[in-house]
Amino acid sequence: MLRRVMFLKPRDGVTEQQMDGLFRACQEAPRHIPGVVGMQGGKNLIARVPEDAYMVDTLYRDLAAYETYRHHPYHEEALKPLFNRADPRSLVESYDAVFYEPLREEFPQPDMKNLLRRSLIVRIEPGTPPEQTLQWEKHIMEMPRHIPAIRNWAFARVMQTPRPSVWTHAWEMEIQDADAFRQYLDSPFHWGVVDRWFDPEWPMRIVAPRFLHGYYKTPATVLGWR
Amino acid sequence: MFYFLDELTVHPGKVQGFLARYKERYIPGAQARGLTLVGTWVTPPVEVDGEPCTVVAMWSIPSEQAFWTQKHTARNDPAVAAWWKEARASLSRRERRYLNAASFSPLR
Repeated sequence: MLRRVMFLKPRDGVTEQQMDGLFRACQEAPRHIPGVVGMQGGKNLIARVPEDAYMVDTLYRDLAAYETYRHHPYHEEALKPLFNRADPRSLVESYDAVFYEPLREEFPQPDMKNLLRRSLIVRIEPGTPPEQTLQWEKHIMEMPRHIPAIRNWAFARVMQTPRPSVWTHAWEMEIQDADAFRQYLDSPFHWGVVDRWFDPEWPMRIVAPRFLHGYYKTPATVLGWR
Repeated sequence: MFYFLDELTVHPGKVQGFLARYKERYIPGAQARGLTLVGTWVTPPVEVDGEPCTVVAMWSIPSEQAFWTQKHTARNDPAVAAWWKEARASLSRRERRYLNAASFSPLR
């Protein structure tokens, strides 16, 4: 399975109703395009910059399915014009996307309803010793054991195909609500162990200061799509 | 309350100069980000010729919310990165240790 996560910046003046139309077009994709398992998006409820305003998730059966998607008439005619800045119908000013296959994932609660689907896309600083990156990866993947608010989750190294990316890792989770996100933030394992790697004042920081971060509301699991 | 310790090992003979710069260049900004300085110590208590000295600074943060706020502020403040880059010239080692209070700790 090949997963793609996109962060979108809408064009000036685009309304939430218009973006809802874009998301409806995305949700239709699996009905039209073979190999697209799921596609949906939503408003990033913790966006800090316009570039992170909306998110779109897509799951492809494999890389070949992505190529089918790219050239399929539904993509060419219904989706691409909404995302292509050069097209007058576009609702999107710019977007950033990463592709990955999870290094590890767990779905202890695949039947969650009305949840928050959260994504953090980061870049490990160039030149970081591999053993430090491995230790950071280990700490990230230990979080669900220490923080019960994390339900379904996936951790991945970002792929450099089908397109090169400046990002190196994706840390994704599904949590019930904003209170659960607060529990995630408040865990000593988070602020005292994992966040050091992001801390601009910690001498061993390895995660670059800029990252993509967000969550949106979804009626059912995204990480559990199969 | 959150606490953390900064351990800053200073090259021999440089500790007084480093403390003066720390007080002037780092502490006001940290306080403006919501940190409270609990105490600053030097160990060993007396500088020994030719040997490094370690400055230990204990800081507190009143809440989880304040913890994340100060973190985001520091991340976006180039003066913070500039300070630590400058400090590297005076330091042979640096560590920041986040602390979780033991059940019998008077400071919690």
